[in-house]
Amino acid sequence: MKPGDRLVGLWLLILCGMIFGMVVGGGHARTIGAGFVIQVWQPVTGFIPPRSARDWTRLFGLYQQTAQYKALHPAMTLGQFKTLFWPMFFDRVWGRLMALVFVIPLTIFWLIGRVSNRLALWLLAIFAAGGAQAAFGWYMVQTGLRPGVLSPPPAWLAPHFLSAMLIFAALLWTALTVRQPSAAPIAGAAFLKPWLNACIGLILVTMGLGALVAATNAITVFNTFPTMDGRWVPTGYSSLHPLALNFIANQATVQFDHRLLATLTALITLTTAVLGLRTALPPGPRDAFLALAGLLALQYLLGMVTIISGSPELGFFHELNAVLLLTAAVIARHSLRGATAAPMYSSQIAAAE
Amino acid sequence: MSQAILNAIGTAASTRNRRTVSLWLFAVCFMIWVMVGIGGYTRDTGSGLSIMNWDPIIGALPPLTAAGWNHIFGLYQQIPQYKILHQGMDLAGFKALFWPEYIHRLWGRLIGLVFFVPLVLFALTGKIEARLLPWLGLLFILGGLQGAIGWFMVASGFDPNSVAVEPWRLTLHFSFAMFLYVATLWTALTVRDPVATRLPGQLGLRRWVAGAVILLAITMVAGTFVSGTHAIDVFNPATKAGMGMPPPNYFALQPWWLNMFANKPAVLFDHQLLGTATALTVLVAAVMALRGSAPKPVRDAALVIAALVLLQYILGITALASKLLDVGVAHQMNAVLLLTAFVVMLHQLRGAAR
Repeated sequence: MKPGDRLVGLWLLILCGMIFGMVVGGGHARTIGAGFVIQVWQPVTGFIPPRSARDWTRLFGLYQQTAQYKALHPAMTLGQFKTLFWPMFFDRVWGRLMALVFVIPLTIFWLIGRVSNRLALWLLAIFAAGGAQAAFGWYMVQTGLRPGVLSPPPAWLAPHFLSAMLIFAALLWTALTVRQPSAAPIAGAAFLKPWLNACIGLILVTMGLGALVAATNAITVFNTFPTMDGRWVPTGYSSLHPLALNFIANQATVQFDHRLLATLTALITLTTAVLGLRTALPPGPRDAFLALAGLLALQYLLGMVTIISGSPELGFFHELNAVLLLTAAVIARHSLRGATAAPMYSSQIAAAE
Repeated sequence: MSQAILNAIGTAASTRNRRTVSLWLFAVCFMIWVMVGIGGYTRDTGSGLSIMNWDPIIGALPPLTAAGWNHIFGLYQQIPQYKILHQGMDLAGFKALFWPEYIHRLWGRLIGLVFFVPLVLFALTGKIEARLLPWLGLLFILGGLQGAIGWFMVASGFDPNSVAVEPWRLTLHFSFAMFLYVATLWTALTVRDPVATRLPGQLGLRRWVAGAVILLAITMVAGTFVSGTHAIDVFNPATKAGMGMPPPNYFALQPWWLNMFANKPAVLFDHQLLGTATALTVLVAAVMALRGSAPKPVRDAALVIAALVLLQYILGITALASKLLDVGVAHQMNAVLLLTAFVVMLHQLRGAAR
């Protein structure tokens, strides 16, 4: 079996960890409502923090042009502005740091031949996707200058989060493949692959719907479980026009969709985990299935407790655990790359002959 | 299992007879499980005090005439629960209270019959090993005792100013039911599968599973106090009361130990803390079994306990948040399923060795 490149694999895993860190920073910035506070984008020099009173006045002045400032914080002081500014600033600097951690080792590994041309091109594509993600994030922040837009709009936030997750999953898969280039054959486990594909797809879609819940602040309504204020389908499910608008902007609809799909995802994922744990698997994939089941259980409970308590802080942990759950599903799927159908019994072979 | 041992046990131990006898005992277990549901429903609807008399035999008949109904409604009108909670209730309202309690008692009599009649038949036809007869006879007598405990519990609800039974008597009634259930289930499993398979290297797992089941039992007992004191009333999302944090008035009552049984916020908190500890212990047990070299049936039992403990935790939170009585009953019935999975798993691990 071809040995993997542990160092390159470790570097890519560190990048995955940094994307997770970005979710921590971005989720926190959203939780405290800091998304619109920095209305400048200087991709290169933006890592320099404001130093003089003049810098601060300029930045604060830019924020004062947003509808959010005018409608929600007209009496905000510079001190209050700074407490919102720093988390958002840190989140952006973290993004620039990621770019450096991506490009510098990539260049070195490519030059010394530890990264093949093919892999380098693939990684450059992922890097470009990361750059596009940053630009998309900036345009989302700019929507704050539009009249009446008081927080990052759902139609921007959900794609921003979901594309981050796609980049994360692609990078994680690449890291795992670099560490273990040849797939170990596992007889009789091939049937698990479509199950895990379904899990990953469902988890991603549920996460996208979760981003809509966060963006519409739907956590403030229907703080009951299992019903939504006594009804299984909430009142006002289709109160907006046109109908399609309900699915991204109606708090009742968005929360209902997330609950429904999360339950479906939970059932499919638990079934997958049970099927995996009842199959004879090597220790690596087996532990991935255990982690999948455990994180899924934790995720559902966190979701329930979040909505009952209406606590944005718990919602933040719910968001972070979703990334861990996705990680477990991707690792489980990757560990089964080499899975084959059950070997034929000798009687079947005889019959076939 | 050598053939010599089988011969020594005699014809009663034929595989077919053992299957028949164990099937009968499993049916009794199932009936006890249903009884837990009916009992939970009776408690949640506050029907437990609607029948004022205890006639183990003739009580099997409900009132058949208008005079009969008026008679027992008249009896009910004399107790404090009627005077305090249901003053002015009509006969239809009374019947809604009457039927759950009546069905609960009737089902108890039915369990007695389903236990006793086959027991006699199997004993006469030699289908049961002789050494098992005294044990099964004892279980039958204890089942009768459970009926008496039920009446002992109900009687406490007729005390002056009382609108419900005393919580500790409810705990006794439920705990004794669980003892009977586990005893019957273990007997059924052993009759079906009399010889323990030796499982080297599984001793650690068995000890952990035994620890988890003890925690589960304590949590279930604590749950009966939640139910008996209606501690769920404490829950209030607006003040975060009853949401898993230690309550500020945990030691409101004197002496201190009384808080564990009668102080609602403390009772609820204890059950939540124990529930979380049990859930974590159960998950560790499941992970141990699934990562170790346990045989296939033990692994499957581990998957079942993990799934049931997750469901139990979700049902617990849901019961609290929704205050839906049906969810509370489901939580209680699922606790018995979880206990069942544990007993099955421990039974499979009987032969665990170092």
